[in-house]
Amino acid sequence: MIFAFGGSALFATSYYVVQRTTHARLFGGPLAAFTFWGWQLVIVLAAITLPLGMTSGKEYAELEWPIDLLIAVVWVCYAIVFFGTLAKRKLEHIYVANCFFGAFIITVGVLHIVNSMAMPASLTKSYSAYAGAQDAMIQWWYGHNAVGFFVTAGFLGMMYYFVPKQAERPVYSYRLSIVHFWALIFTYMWAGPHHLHYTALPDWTQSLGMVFSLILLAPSWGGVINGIMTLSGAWYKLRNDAVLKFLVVSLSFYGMSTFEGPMMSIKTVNALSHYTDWTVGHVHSGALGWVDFISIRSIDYLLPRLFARDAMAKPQWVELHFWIATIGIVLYIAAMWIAGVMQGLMWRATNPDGTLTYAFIESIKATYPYYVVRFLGGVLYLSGMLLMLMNCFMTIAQGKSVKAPIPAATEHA
Amino acid sequence: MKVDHGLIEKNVTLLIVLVILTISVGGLVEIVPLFFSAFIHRACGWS
Repeated sequence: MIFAFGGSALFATSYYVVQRTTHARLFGGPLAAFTFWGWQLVIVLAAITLPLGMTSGKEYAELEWPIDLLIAVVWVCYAIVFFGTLAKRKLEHIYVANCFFGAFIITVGVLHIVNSMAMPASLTKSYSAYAGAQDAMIQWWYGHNAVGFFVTAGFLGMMYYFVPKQAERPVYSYRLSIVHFWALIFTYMWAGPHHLHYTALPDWTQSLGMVFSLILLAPSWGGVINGIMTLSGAWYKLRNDAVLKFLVVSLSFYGMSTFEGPMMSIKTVNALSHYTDWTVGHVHSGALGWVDFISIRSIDYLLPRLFARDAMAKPQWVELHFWIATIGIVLYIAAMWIAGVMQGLMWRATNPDGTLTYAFIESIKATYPYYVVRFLGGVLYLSGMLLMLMNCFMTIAQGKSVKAPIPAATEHA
Repeated sequence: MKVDHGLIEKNVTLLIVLVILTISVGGLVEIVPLFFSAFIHRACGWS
């Protein structure tokens, strides 16, 4: 989901936004098309090789070395297209959305290449260049920043273009956007060790990761405040603009999960939450609430404009999708929170003689009703996406593709 | 000294270099020392 849906949304929006905010066509000609087909090939290969058991066993980086190489090539081409376009921009200033997209592209490239270093044994099997605690640390330096850059910085780039556009208001504070940009990309890179509390990783590294995770609350909320305050003076638009509703709820979920994340990185809280469904709830409030919502609405903004229409084919479906998806997520994450805390408490409960109060299977049985609620939430969310898919097809079918005119170069923010 | 962020906003190369420097610090501090940790070396049987 993250790499296929999120990745494609990131490619599409970054290519759109960088052209809009530089008044220049994409650099590199067919290179952009190559990144599209290359990325789709990566996803198809992933869907084939992983079920066949071909995996390097690294979380979020399971793909074997030939596919890793393909990802690296596609990613370098992506960077060439993006930064090449920035270089030939017709406006003097680089808009802040492009800073976020740019940092996301550079960092994901660095993370992927360093973490995937491996010695091939055959075409479908390789061994990581790292071992033990170092391997774990590098893996989570990569893993946490796949979260920090792939699904945060890139999507903040989207936010900085589509929220002001949809609200028809300038960004609340340009200064805040600059400050939280540098603070965010600096701090995120330190937070990885909070995935490795109470492991063989040295204590100082764990504590450092925890402290930086707590600090991370500030730059994250800088983005939330900037996004939501952009609406000041335009709040009335929320009443009948479903796209704007999606964007605001998306930012609220972002604020909530970036508060929850630092809390869960505190060692004592982590002792309860780790390995439970609380983590699953946290991830989904971020992935479904923040990342998906902002991508969905960016698509609803983009499609009519790319196919010469005023709005999506069925605007009332957008409103319907909003309510179905929001209720779906709330059911999903509330169930996972309750289940997670319950599991954590059951696993640590001991009798006076020191033996465990519950067998593992008892915690599974107790979780069962919450899995039913989660299933319900998931079905609601999925049906919302199907509704949107229909709406997209109808919009494309009724529209025609247009060549967007490139406006004359005039300096504006 | 007045720091002008406009300089970075007008120079792609400077932006790329500064981003790379900014994102490198965390990993260097947390990963590199692990390769020189006597504790880890003992645990791995390297020394």
